Amino acid sequence: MSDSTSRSESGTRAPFLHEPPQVHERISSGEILATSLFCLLPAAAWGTRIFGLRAALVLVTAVLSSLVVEAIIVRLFRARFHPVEAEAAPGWHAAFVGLVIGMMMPPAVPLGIVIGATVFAIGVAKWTFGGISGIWLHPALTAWVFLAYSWPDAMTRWTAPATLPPDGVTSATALGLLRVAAERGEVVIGGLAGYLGRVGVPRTALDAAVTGWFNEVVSGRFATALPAGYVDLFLGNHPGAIGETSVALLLLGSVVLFGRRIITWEIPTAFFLSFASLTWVFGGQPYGAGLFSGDVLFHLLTGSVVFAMFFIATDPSCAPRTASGQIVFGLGAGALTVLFRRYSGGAEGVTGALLVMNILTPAINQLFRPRRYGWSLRASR
Amino acid sequence: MIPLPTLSRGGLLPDDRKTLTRGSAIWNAALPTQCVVPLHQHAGAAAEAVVAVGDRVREGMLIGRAVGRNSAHVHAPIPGVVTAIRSGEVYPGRPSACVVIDLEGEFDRLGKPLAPAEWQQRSARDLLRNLRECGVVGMAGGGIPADNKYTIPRGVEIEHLIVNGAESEPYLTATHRLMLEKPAEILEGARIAAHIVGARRVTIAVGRDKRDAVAAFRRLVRERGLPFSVRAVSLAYPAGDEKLLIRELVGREVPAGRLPIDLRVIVSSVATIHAVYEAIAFGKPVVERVVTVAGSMVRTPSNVKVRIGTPVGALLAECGGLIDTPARLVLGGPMMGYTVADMATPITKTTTGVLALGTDEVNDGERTPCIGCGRCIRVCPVGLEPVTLVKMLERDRPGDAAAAGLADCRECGCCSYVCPSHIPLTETLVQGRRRNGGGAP
Ligand code: SF4
Ligand code: SF4
Repeated sequence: MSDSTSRSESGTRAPFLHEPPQVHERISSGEILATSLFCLLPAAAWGTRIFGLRAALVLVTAVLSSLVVEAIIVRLFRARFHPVEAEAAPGWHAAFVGLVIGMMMPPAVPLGIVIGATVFAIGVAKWTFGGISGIWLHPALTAWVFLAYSWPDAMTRWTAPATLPPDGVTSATALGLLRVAAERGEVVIGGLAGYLGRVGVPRTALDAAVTGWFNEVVSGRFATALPAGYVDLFLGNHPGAIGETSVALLLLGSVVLFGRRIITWEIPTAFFLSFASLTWVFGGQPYGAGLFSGDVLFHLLTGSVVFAMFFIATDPSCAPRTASGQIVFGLGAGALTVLFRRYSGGAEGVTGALLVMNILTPAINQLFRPRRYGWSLRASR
Repeated sequence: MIPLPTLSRGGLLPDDRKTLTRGSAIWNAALPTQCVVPLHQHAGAAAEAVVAVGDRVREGMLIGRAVGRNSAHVHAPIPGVVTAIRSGEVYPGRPSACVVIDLEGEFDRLGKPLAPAEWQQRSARDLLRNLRECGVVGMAGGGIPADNKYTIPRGVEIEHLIVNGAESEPYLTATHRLMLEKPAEILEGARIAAHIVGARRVTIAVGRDKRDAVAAFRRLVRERGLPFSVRAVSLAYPAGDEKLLIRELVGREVPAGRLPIDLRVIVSSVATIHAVYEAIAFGKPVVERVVTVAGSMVRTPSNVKVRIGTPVGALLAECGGLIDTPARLVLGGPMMGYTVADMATPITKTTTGVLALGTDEVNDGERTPCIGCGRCIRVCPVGLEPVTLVKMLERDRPGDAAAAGLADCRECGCCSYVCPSHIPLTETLVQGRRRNGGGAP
């Protein structure tokens, strides 16, 4: 009798033996990275619409070249990497980094520079540290800085968007124009976008229509007015890097990221708060205005702040891992962006700000740990 | 499951799949034709067989005698003949000698209503002996003999008895049903346990998702004028963890490396308290328990009262059988239970559930590199950094892991559950604890 029921003889066996937990959330890192990539696509597509096929070529080159570089590196040095890392490559992460790099590029950048950037990002910033889990400087930012110092001209040659009426100065970015103004000591009154209009930056008809409607219906009641130009900045009708112009579409992508819980509120919120408040307090000074007169909206809509806030600062592999650490990270990044925008050599400050915060991240991780159960003074009486 | 808003104290809001069985009233399984009764169903050493092959046993008769304080008696769940004493695998994956009993003969006790015996006049010592004789152990998984747990060291005064009905593990609803169907018995059991340990306060902790059970307890407590408080507790997994429950109800944390009793608190599960009641009121040994049978591969998910030693296969057959081969066959809850390889594995005193899970419930995945997302840290209910601990263990630095709090891990499974890279975090931590001598919590 015992034979027929003894477990080794029993016919019905479940296929595997597993330790707990036996169930898993329906999610994977590949899915997270792929979703991040897809959330970038609307803004990227906008870039190709306003800057033409040339921009599309840059994006495709960046993504493909990242994948190829990763494949080659993993193939050559497989033995040096953790098998799990090597197995997962080339993958969504390289594609995502590639797309971010592409989107940070000026539309007219030579393709060789793009390829150089991906080699630097994937080869140096990612794989010399052993792959995704070793990254501590954001690969795309690192590559961008590398380019900005190696080919400063190519990295600041901008293209006028196809959606704007042709005009002489439109191929300078808004931030660039303002930097010039600040250097010349010009006094800017009536909103920074208004200044751009006066120096000859054209506007679309849509901007005029929406601004007019808005002032009539909404802000007129509060005795304020939205100056012309902001709608264009919001929608992305201004020169800049391929992927950073359309704040509207970047926000759209970020909504999906939040909805799928791929990014959490801490970094973007802290980033926004420190950036906005410091811009408001000090942002007016370079243009001859006093404290508390900064044009927050303008600074948010230009440059790559929104892009960085949702898609770069939140990159999990080089941001702090605890909620409190992420808040510190966001606050620091926002503050440094304001600082660098004002004092650094280039008009764009967010890249340097985030890299500095990346460098500080290991320290933040050490300082902002979760509180351990049973170790507080109160618990030990 | 959804990770709770950050800055909280970890845990998960479960996609708990409790609706599968929440509405299913407990029914009695048919008697198995054969029971395989492990002699090791509890925390301490295995019991020693006191029957031999060929012996005739009656229901509830002692077949295994406890060896040592942390061991427990084992009784015959069905009447019949001992046909073998052999080794078999028992949840959670350890071998144990098993007494095989083939059903035969008369029932002389169960099914016949008895008047509950008086216990108020009996001494704690007497009641403890009674619990020991009936083989009552922690029935929510711990398996610590009740008499051992309720034996309070001299000089310690127990302040607070917590009856744990949080049942935060997904799928499981057996405790919920027991609370709904036997609230009076559970309250009586709590009175007995409080009497034994001398607790001044009694709290019945019920998961917030079980409003009906909370209401049932509140009504009874009011009607009978009992000095108990009934508290609805968090429904985030693992709210039912002893230490976390204490934090929630008492507002204090059990200091690292100490036990709840150091805070003068004792936590007992509803199932255990119910067994205490039956042992004291009727002298009934632990020969059956309520088990949730669920999972998408089970035809009729149910809550079943089943004899200890019933093979899993027989129990599943009673629930309409399997729809298809399960991806995993689990004893216990999905977060802390173990898979079994064999349909002949018996139900024990500590088996809370039998789950036949499909692939879409398990969501297995290839391990990929850590992306540093920190989800594991956010969900850890005791504030550990699973990713850091696992890195230390994988690089063979157990000393660092110990300093970083390896011993505090509750083995709750949350970190592995959420890790998008499917890194076996909990598994590695549990192994690390075993290997480096960090015992069970
Ligand atoms: S298994 Fe341990 S480390 Fe992981 S979440 Fe639970 S308590 Fe934290
Ligand atoms: S959850 Fe997994 S991927 Fe995320 S930090 Fe923890 S170990 Fe790394």
